[in-house]
Amino acid sequence: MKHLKKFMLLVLAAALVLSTFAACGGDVQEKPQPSTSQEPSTGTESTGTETETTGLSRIVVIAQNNDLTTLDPHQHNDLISGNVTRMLYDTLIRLNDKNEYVPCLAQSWEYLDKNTVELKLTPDVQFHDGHVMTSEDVKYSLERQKASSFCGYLLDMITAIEIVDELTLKLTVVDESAALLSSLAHQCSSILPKEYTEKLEGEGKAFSDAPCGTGPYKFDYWNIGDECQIVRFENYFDEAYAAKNEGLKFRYIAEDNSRVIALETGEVDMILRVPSTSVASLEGNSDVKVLRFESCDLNYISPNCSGPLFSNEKLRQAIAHCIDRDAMIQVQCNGNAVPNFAPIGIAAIGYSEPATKREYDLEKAKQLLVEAGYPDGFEFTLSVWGDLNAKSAQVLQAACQQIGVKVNIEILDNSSMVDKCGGAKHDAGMDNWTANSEPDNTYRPWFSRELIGAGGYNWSCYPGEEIEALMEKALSVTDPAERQSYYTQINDFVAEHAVVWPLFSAQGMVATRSNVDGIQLYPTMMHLFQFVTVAE
Amino acid sequence: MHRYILKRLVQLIPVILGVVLIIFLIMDLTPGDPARMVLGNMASEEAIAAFREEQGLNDPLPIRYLRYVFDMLRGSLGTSYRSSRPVIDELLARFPATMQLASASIIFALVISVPIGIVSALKQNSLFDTVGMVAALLGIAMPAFWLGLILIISFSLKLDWLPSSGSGSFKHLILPAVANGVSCAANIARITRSSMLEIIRQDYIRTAKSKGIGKMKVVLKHAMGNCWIPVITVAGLQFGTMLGGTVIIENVFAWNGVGDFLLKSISAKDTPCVLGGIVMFTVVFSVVNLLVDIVYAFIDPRIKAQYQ
Repeated sequence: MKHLKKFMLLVLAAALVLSTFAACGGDVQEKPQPSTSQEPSTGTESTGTETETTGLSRIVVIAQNNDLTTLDPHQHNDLISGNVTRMLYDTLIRLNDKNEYVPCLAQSWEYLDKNTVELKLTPDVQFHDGHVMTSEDVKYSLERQKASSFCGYLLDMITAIEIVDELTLKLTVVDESAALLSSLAHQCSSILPKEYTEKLEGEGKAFSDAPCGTGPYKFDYWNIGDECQIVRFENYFDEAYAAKNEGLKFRYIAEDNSRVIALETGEVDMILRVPSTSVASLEGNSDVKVLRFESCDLNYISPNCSGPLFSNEKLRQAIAHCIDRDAMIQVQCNGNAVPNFAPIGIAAIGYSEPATKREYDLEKAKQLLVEAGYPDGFEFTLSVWGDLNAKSAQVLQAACQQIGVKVNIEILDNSSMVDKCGGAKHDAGMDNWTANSEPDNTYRPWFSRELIGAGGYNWSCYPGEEIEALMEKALSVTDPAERQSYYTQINDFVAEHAVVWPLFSAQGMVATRSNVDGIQLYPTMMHLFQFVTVAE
Repeated sequence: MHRYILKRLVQLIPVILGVVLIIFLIMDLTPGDPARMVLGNMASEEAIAAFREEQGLNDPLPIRYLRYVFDMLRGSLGTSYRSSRPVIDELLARFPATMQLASASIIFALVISVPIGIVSALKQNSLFDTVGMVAALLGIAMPAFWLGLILIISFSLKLDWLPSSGSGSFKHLILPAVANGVSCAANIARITRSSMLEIIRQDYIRTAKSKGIGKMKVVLKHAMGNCWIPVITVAGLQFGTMLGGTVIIENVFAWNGVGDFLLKSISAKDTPCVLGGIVMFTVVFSVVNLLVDIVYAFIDPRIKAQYQ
């Protein structure tokens, strides 16, 4: 009995410890009370989409499939963190929903000569800490970004930054280039307050833990690995882009089904990246709506054009004719994609439908196989990233089998994939890519010859200089139409010589509760959330 | 007893060093460049070279291993490649949630399984026993992600009683704790039953019964004392495993624990986070096992005598 008592005491003690730990967990998980409430303010009636007291919609809850890495805009280059940082910070130039570069923190910009750009800043722009933005802040931010391993490359064309006066700067650039505007409009080219950032970092604190920008929202709290909340910034300088809701709460829900259920139960107002397997059920739910848009995504296969097999152009062309895009779209995306024959997403700047479209045609493929010197077929390994892509790989495998070509599918994780295909150790590699607003950021890593075998993303390893020459021409002009003509030539060349086997562009999809409106969707997935309203 | 505890804690040191070495070797042997993985697809070769230099990735493996061990002795587990945040901060941000879930799961499992196991043993071959053991079999066989989704669909989507995901309140804890605890409960119920069946057939139990002691008292006082050892062994092991993070449950319920963090770190080749997570798991698992051994001593005087 004595021992039983002791044991019971121990159990009680353990239970106490456990409950203490559990309570500790609760403390850590406990959300700091936001300054604005998710519910309509006490004592006010909710009318339509707005509350009477503030005239604003309540805090919008958005679920993402991945966790934020940082809130420091110069320390990441990913879309998940970008969805928050785009709302916290502004860039000098803004890319609007019509794909035009319009003023933001820079009121105007002008090439004084081909190596000098003058920027006039927008006056009276306040940071979240109340400090007014000046040229000092802009110079500091651009230099801080240039030093970043994550996104410094975006500003490689800028060689010097000179302050002319409080609201004027001169940028010395390598050459006149359209890439400058897209780089200055990129989510990473955010402007930070110099004094605040230097003081914070001087104290050994991370900027990411107490971010401060000029954006339409200011930081509220971030529970790492869980959720992040930002709230409306009252003194935002640009009324046209000011937040129409009290704030945004970004939740991390990794599992596709759980994210969809959270939307269906109303725990979240919006989910980004809707799993294609759930689209039909969501569209049948009257409480939910699915918004579709053309995306800059591309699913593709890169044959190793420097390898022993696919340096043979006829062989590449033969396999290109074995691609049954409709079947792939059906098995991998449940029909929610469009066939693509160009090496860039269908909605991306730079896209054009190639003059040569290598459609699914097994007879033509057989004929090309004979011309290539492989009348009895051959065998190659297709390296694939992820189980989902393997579905499309199996469609190709089945088609190739019909013309006597054996495809061995090898499913790899991301790092192994980059190691193998980036190191040019592959026969062919299958992956997907989302282009941003600057086409050079897609074409250069894909086709730059100095990157062949360097561990990057030039998986096609095309050794000829034709694409690179066109790429340089496109970068050296600022007229969008002229630029596009060079990218059209690249797309035609790539299709004609089957340098890459483009497959399809998945449809962009965002699902919201039926009472949610106002999201501004971008093909690059860099959506704007400040116009979102929720009707109560 | 104190010497025994101290000895066990000292034994942890070579275990941790060994574990760190193995993880170092595995991370080094798996393909992929951490710099490339972290900096993304647009990073220049210069940026990648600078990152490798800054993180000491160009140094030979023995140097990196020794540097890590010395830093660890000074209380630093390094900095995450991805977030540039100290690994210890990353782990501490998530470990309480894991602790909370593991504690709730094991409490749920014990509360459900021990009574079922005892009653099943006492009423062997009865309807209760059959139903209980079939349920236990189902509990072991059901995949956790499936059970998790079924619970979410039933209690969140259909009945709207409990939140489907997230953390922060007791309500949030219920579904993940049940989904996580069911297979553990099934295991413990089976162990309890078989252990109790063995004990109630022993002579000293028969003697107690023949002396006219009440059935409840015989079971609770005389039989349970010996029954606890295997139950606590299984529960301790399960608890230790849960503290290492349960990736599937964390993913399904968007529970901010170390399991999901560790998995993401492995895919991103964020070696400091992987090492830090594994070191933490090793320590926690060893400490839980030590606690289990200490509990043995309180339950069984013969074991206690060995320590003295």
